[in-house]
Amino acid sequence: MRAFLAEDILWHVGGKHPLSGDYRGVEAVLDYYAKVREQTGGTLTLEAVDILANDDHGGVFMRVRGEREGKTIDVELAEALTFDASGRWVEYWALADEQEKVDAFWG
Amino acid sequence: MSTTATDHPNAQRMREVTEAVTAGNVAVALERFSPDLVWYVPAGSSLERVYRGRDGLQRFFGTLIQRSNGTLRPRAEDVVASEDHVVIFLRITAQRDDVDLNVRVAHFAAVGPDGLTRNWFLPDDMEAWNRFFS
Repeated sequence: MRAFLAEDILWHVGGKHPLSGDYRGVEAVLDYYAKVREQTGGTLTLEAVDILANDDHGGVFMRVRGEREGKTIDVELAEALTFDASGRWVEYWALADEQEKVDAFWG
Repeated sequence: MSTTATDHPNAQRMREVTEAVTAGNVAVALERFSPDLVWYVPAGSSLERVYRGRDGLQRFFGTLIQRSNGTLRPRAEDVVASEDHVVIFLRITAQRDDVDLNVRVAHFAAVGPDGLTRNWFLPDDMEAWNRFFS
C-alpha cells in the first residue's frame, strides 16, 4: 500500500462516523487502514465493480462487505484519486451513496 | 469491469451538466439525468440528504443557486467515465456577502439507459461547504 501513496497524500473519508474526516501523509493513511482492519477483525472485503482512469485521475466503484460488533455492511463505495507524475496517489476521496449505512456500521 | 476514456460519451454527458449549471440553464442539465434519479448530499449539511427525480434535483440546484446569490460556478477539471459510471473532478466557487466558497469536489454517478441515475459527491473541505450552504 505504501508504494502507491505520495508522502503528503491528502485522504478524505466522507460521512459522520468516528473514522470520517481528513488524513494527511502516508503514516496517517496507514494508521487509518490499521484501524479499519482492527475494528472489523479482518472481515472487510472489497470487490472492484468498475475502475476508471486517465493519466491524472482515477475512480473506483467497489462493493464493500464486512462485520463489526454484530453489525454487517454491504454498500457500494466510490473512490476518487488524483495521481502525481509518478502515478502515486496525492489526493483521495471515499464516500458511499447510502452513507447512513456506513455511519451506522462504524458508529 | 471496464476501461475508461476521458472522452467517453458519459464523460461528455457530465461535462454538459456542469456547463449548463454554470450557465444557469438547469433545464438543460436535468435532461442528462434519468427521471428516476437519486441525488445524495453528504452528511453534515443543512441541505436535505436525498433528492429524488428531476423535480427534486431542480430543487437542489435551485437551493444552491439561491444561497449563492447566483454566483455558483462549477468548473470541470477532469472527468473519467465508463459505460456504467462517471467520476468528475470539479472546482466549485461561489460568493455570498463576504463569504467565499472555493472547494474541489469529487462527484460520482452511476449511469442507466435513460441517463445519470445515482449521484453522490464529496467536497475536499466539508466544513467550508457546510458553512457556506448552512
